[in-house]
Amino acid sequence: MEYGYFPGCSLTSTAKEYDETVRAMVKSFGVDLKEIQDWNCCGATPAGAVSEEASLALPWRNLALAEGQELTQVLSPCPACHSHMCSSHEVADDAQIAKRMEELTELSYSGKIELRHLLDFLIEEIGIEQIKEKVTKPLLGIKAACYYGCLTRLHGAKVDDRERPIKIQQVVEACGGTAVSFSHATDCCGASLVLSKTGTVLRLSNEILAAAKRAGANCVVVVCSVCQGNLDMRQKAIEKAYSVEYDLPVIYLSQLVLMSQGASPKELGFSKHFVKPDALWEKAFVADDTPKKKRKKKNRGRITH
Amino acid sequence: MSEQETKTSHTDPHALRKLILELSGVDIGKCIQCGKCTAGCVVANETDWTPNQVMQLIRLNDMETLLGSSMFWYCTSCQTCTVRCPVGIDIAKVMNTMRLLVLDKQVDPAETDVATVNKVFMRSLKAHGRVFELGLVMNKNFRTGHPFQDASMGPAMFSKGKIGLKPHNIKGRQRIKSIIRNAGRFLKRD
Repeated sequence: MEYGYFPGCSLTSTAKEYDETVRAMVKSFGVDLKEIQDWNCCGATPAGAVSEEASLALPWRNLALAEGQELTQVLSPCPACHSHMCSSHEVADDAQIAKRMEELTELSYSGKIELRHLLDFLIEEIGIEQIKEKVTKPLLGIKAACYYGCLTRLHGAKVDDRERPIKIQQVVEACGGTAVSFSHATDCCGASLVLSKTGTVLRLSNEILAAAKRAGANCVVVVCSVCQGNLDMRQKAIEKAYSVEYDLPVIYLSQLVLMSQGASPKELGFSKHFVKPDALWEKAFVADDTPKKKRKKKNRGRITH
Repeated sequence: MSEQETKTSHTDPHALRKLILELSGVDIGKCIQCGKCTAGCVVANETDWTPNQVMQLIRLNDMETLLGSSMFWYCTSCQTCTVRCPVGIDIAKVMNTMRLLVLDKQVDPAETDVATVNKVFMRSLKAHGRVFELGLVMNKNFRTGHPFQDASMGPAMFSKGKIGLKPHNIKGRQRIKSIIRNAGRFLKRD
């Protein structure tokens, strides 16, 4: 099977290990990725905040290029890129807006390409059964906090349940790991505010990491390059700002799947992480036999008279 | 145009609500002030007005207070408010429309840092067709007056190959430049 691929800017720089492992993972399932030639940036949040027309025209060019290169399906690992492409894809049905897009880009797009985010792709195109079949080293020691961020709520992204998503958990379990009960699965990490309101991002990311630690996770599993950047790259700064210690590796779902297929830390691009997942890798394949602490039942939230 | 608009806003008590409807296609008239948007908002504790207060400012026709608010500059567009609104108002879209309106009316944004990052980001796109991270960060630091912000992360970013020294120029970058130059602030809706 051949599948179109839109990596997006961050996967060519700050999230290189995401790009590399997505390519390797997809290949392991017998799918060939064909990158859209000469793709441009989708415009991200700034384009939308500066010009509404530009925020639709920039992804339109990519969609039109993909169609011209005879791609019928496109996979994007970045939720924001995926959402922007979906928004642009939708307006193809509106003759007036489509005409304006054609004027701006000098390219036409029929609106027939099927767009998928990585998570959606894994569940719908590959399927849980095939993920299970490929597992050679079950991740018995992985206790993952499955973090979705805003992925499920973004415009056009019909990936999972908006408030109670389960798909990352399904993949983690298919790979032999456990997903912990995690309160902040869909809370925003602050996203692109990292460049302008860094303090806000540190606060929000701190809450997410604290929740993961509280839930007993030994890693956070993400499907977004911005989430990974905020939780991993900024983790040292968060620890300093809030006088806490997390040492919690933040890994991509594609890395987790490859891990269960026996990939080495080098193949997984672990050296590119700021919080080293090497110690996690050591215990990832061994079941943790220590008994769970028994929690005392409290009358939490119950009114007693 | 602005003179005419000011006039109408004095005479028509719904002028601002109608303007937002015209620009974004979202009618905030349905808002019941339940506060769910604010309860779920991750940045509302740092802003001058909360999301439901912004809805009310639109209803009160208070353009001046609204344009000077920091709320929509802090908005991360995470869409929690939109998804949870019981009457189906796309609140995040209203927030984005407000950012566009501030630029359109050439008012000083309440949070200049956010507006500057957006500007510098678009400049990077115009030049290369893709984002050039190093140029973006340096340009942003220079313009916001924090020249050494995140500089300590630089060496690690380079050694991990996470940030390039040279931009990647796409072949169609002239087209990207003309798209950005010719694109209108708002999409024309019927």
